[in-house]
Amino acid sequence: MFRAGPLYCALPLDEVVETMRPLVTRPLAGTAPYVLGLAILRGAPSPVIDVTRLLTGAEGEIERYVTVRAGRGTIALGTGPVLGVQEIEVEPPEGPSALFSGVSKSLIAAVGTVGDEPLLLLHSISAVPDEVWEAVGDDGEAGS
Amino acid sequence: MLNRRTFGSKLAIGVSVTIVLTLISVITAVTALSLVVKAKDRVIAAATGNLAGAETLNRMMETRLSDYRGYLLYGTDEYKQLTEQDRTSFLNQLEELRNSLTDGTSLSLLERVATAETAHAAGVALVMAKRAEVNDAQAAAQLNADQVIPLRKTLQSTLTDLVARIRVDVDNDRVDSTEQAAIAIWVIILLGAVTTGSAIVVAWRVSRDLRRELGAAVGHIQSSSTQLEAAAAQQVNGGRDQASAMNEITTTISELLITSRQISESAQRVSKIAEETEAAARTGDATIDQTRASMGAIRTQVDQIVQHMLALGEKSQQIGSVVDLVSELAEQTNILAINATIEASGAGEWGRRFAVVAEEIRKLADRTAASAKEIRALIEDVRGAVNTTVMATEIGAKAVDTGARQFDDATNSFREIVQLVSTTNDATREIELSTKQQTTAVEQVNIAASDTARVSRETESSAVQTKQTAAHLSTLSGDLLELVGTAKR
Repeated sequence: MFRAGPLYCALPLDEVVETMRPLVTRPLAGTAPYVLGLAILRGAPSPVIDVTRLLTGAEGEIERYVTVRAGRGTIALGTGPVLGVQEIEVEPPEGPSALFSGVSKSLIAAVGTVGDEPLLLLHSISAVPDEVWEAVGDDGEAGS
Repeated sequence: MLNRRTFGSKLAIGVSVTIVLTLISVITAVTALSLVVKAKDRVIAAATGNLAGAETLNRMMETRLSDYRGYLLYGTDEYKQLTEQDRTSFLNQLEELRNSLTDGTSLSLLERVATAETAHAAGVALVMAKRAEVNDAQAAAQLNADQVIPLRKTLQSTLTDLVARIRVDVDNDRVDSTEQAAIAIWVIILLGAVTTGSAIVVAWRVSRDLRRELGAAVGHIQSSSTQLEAAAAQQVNGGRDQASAMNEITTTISELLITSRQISESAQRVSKIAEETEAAARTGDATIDQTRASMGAIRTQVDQIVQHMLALGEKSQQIGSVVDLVSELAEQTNILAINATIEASGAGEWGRRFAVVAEEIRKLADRTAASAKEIRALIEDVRGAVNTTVMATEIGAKAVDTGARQFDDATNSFREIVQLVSTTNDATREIELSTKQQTTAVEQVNIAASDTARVSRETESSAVQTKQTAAHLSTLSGDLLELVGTAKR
């Protein structure tokens, strides 16, 4: 569970690889605003997504990178402070999350609470555009 | 020529001419009177001496004849002696008359009388001898009638002629003296007329000149008196105004004198205060030295505080480095604990137990990070406080330096003030002395102003008297003009 700007967010533990400090990130031209760029993780280039901008549209302070397993590889999520590993209670998507649509609907799996604050359970991080993966692939190929 | 002379000279000349003429008249009158008196004396002497002597001869002749006749009658010696004495007396009188007469005719007549008397005496002697001889009166009378009577008649006739001649002489002398007296009277009248005319001319001329010149002069005097009266009136007004102004000046000077005395007293007090100020300033000079030493000590202490604070800042910075290291270790531990938890989640039961340990480690790391953060905050506070203290101390040091410089400036200013106070003290003493001199001068001026005011009042009084005198002189000039007859009608 971590913070993304004003929001509490959580990821399923089986999707998470590790947490780390923010690394050097190279910006990519022509990508979405929430794509910060590419960072070298464990020797391999990975795209970096600004979760705060992705969820709220506003800029947030990046304190940690949380790497997760995505469909085409590992991506790094730029988040706020990582709060820890804990069990959470969330409601199914038929609840309030039925209001979501687009990117949010594909990204948010369920909604819960932490005290008085809302908690978003994220999954299926597929928000990385293909051109980014292509760039990663080019870099990977160039790096390999 | 007289017109060029002064009135006094004219008057002197006129009076002198009158006096000379008067003296001439007097001398002439005296001379004439003397001549007249001499003539009259001569007439009186002729009348009383010659004419009386001739008459006396005639009377003595009668007495001699009576005595001769007595002898002829009685023939006594007594008559004889009387007759002889009568003849002696007659001869003496004749001799006196001869000495007194001056007229030649009278003298010749007198000689004829002497001759006739001698002849008569001879006849008488013969008759008397005959009378004594015959002792007969008749015969003697007859002889007398024959011998003596013709001689007696001749003698008496001659005596009568002598008396008549002397009487004529006396009358002639009287007429001559009367003529001389008349001449003298006419001369005196003429001189008197001349003197009177001269006096009239002199009086007329003097009166004319008096009216003309003295009148003009008196007229000028009158006009001048009028002008003098007007001027005196103006002088009276001026003197009154001057006296009033001098009174005001005297009053003002008196007030000025009082003020000057007050200033003098104030100057004395100021001088005393200046002396006390100078003494206090000298005492303050020692205090300033002590204060400067104290400020030097403060500066040293401040420098030491700055050094200690800088050392404290360095220690805080070292502590901060240690805290940063601790914080870094805590953060790394946190990341490692999370990652260990993540890894442990896929390792079954042992993984879950490890995850619990890892979670506890993460919590310890979080607490350590929180404590390090608090320590960091405290260190920052300490460093901020140290920096603030250092800055404040440096500001204080600068303030002390500035204060020291300002204190030096203040000290210099204070010493200048001391010197100025000393100078002020001297100046105040000079002012005090000058004020005393000024007071003395004002007192002298006050006395002089009082004297001037008194003189002004006296001048006013004199002007009043001058005005009265001028008015009186004007009146006298008018009276004098009336007296000289040239007064304006």
